[in-house]
Amino acid sequence: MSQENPLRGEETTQRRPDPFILVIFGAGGDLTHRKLAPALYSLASQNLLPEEFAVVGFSRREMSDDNFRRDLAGAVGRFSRLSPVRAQVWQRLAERIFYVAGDFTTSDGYHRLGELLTRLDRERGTGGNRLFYLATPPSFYSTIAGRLGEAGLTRGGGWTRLVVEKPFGKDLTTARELNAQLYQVLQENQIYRIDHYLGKETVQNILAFRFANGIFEPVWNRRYVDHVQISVAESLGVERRGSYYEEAGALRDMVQNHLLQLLCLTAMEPPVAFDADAVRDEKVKVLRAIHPFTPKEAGSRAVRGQYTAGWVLGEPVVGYLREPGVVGDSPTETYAALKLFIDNWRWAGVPFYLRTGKRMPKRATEVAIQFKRAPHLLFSQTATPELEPNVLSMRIQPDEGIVLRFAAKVPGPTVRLRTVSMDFFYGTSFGTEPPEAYERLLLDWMLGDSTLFTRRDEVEAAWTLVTSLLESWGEGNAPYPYEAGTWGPREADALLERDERSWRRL
Amino acid sequence: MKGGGPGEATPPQAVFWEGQGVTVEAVERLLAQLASRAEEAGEDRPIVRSRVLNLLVPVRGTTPADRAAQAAARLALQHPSRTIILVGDPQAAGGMDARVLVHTEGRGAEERRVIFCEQLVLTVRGEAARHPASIVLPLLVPELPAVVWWPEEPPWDQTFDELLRACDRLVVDTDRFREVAGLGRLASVGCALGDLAWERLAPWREELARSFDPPAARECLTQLSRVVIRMGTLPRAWLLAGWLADRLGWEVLAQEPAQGGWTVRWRRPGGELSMELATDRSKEETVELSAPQATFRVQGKAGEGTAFARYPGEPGIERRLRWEETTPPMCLDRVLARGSDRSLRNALTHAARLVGEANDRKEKGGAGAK
Repeated sequence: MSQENPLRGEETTQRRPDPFILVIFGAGGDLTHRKLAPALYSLASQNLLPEEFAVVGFSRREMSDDNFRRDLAGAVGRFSRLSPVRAQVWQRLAERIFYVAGDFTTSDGYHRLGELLTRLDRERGTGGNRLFYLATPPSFYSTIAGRLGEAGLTRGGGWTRLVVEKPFGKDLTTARELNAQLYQVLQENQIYRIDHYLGKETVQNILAFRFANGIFEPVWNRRYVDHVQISVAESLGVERRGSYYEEAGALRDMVQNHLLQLLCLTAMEPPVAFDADAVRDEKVKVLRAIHPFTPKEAGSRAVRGQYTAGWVLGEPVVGYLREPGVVGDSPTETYAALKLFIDNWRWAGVPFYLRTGKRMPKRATEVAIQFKRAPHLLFSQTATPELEPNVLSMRIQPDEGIVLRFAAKVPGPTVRLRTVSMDFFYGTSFGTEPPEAYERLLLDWMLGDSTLFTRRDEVEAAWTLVTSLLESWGEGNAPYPYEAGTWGPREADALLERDERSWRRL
Repeated sequence: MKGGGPGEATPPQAVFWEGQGVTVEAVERLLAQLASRAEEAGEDRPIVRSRVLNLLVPVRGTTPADRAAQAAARLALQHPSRTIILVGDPQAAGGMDARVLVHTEGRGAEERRVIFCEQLVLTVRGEAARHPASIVLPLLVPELPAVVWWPEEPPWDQTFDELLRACDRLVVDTDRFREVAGLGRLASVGCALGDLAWERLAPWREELARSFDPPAARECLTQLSRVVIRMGTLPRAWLLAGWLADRLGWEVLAQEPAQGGWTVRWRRPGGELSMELATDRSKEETVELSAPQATFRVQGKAGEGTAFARYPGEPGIERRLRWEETTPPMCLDRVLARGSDRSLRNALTHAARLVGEANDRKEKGGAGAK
């Protein structure tokens, strides 16, 4: 008998997950309401959940099963992309939802949880398969994992998977510690570290665009690419997360995960297969090839900024130092711009400019590949005053799509050139709305596919780079101020101007 | 836009143009000017056309035409297309009527008006109905793939061959086939295939595959002695039999008609097994595979069912199942979302072999009776 199931293979059906119980720690929080509950509802309405399935919320607050169900129903009603909510679908999901009140740090809550899981396994036929989702502050990750291990809940007789949110550690040392603590209870293939950017359709499309098309790969290298710009701009400030943000800053909050993931997908070599290890192997290679920061270079290759009061989207906003939860003279950066080099054959000498900031004029995320100019221009410079180099821009959000900029002749008797663009918009090419990132990620971890999750070595390689910069910046290195509603500090512009380049207008 | 699946959202439609006794050239010209004409008609926003395929739907009569038009409209957002619904009536007096509908929706920051579906209903009467390619070919959007979808069993005649040559892909619904002989004809078609009945079988295939995911259960696949397949239609039962035969390496040994269906003997690796193929609309649909000391059964009706498994080491486990209802637009959506379907092709090849044997037997039976 062969190892494989002969009835499987070249699948033409959507595989449905095995029976399992999803346990959400921090079930009363924002993430559960905004992302998890709507994603569960979406999957239920597409009939992608198994019949033998249950959700157990775990949190400090005392609450009955019914109240928890009502709580989630409210969240689905508010945040689901599918509206109106279909009562029948919700009802079927709601009767599978339970709640346990307990403290994350003491063992009695875990015992009650264990009893409920055993009972549900028996009554619901969930087969001992468990998915623990930690929607808690990161400081609880290792405690919860440890307690789960002690209570024997990671050995339910079926599979056990643990999902953790960002931030994963706050530097290389703490990330390593956290990995070590999780490893005491679980193995790498049981741990799913979320970077929700990877669940976005447009981010996955970077791979589709690069590796499903033959015409771009030949020019995707140092011979043709002048430089790459990766931008993640937010118009929001730190909102209610001031005290968290104080500890993090833009570098830890955005660069270590989202921007470096975008960089990996843009710069990686073709993986041998689209599976978890092949893809992540290539991403790790990129991260390891990024030239680290020496203390001397930190000043010339990186810029940090902090917003001051200003106007965004027609509203006056306060400066970072006046945000709730922020210390009066905080050195935390709300903006970071980096110039990176990838030391390999494909990219040697090609700068990758990364920038991210809060309180920018608008929300926009894109990866732009700027190509080298034509080696010799036949047309007189006077006829072509505004000619710009070719740019391929992959827009992640909003206005999701891909735009190629090139020169065309302006109609008329003289040769005049003008930059035009060839646009592909998701919204007008595909009529369907893409699923939320969490829907895709939820389904993947139910099926045990970890391609879109970050592996230990990946997290640590990203932290190695970011930590080298954090250390170079050191204490007392104050961020440059920029007015809210502008594109960052003047020094960030200078970073590119020194190379005779400029940031793209987003 | 809210909602997702086909059938949940249909962009607003408008009859754009209607004409009787028209020529192909007139229709072609009209379609070419569709966007600019809409702008002239007072639409102040820029108009974009979105289309990824040509969908050609040959039908007989106005009711099937309306049904096909609705189904195609439901697919508009998933598969923006130029849809040509071809109503052929060779018996009637000549002439062609045309109706053009567009389905549009505002999109993006500038609220561009996007045409997601341009639907053309052509009623062709008289001799021209026997030469449909001459009408369809000029109207297909160049560069885009063309799919021909026959909601009913195709006529397998010269018009069928003609339209098939004009298109890249054939989509049928074998559940609507009058008899299993159609499977044999379908198997001999060279282009890429899609089948709505095959999509309805998808949850069955998934659950059967899943029954054999545990290694101990998989061992039983080489010892199967008896298989029962009872489905709502006979073609679907044969198709599922073809799929099992393909995946598990079975060859037909013998077969004969039985009450409500057929019994078949198969040679499987290491032995033989018997199969009962039946159609029964009243009872639950069932697929049961038995080996010594093992039974695997998937059964269900109207979207609900159970999967049962018993094998050495597993005294008996039953799982409840729930399937999505599958309307023709939903099945068509899945067919179109996928490229050529090799597993369908393979299943069909094996099912067709069964048909071949069955025909031989009928002929022999006929000769014997004489």
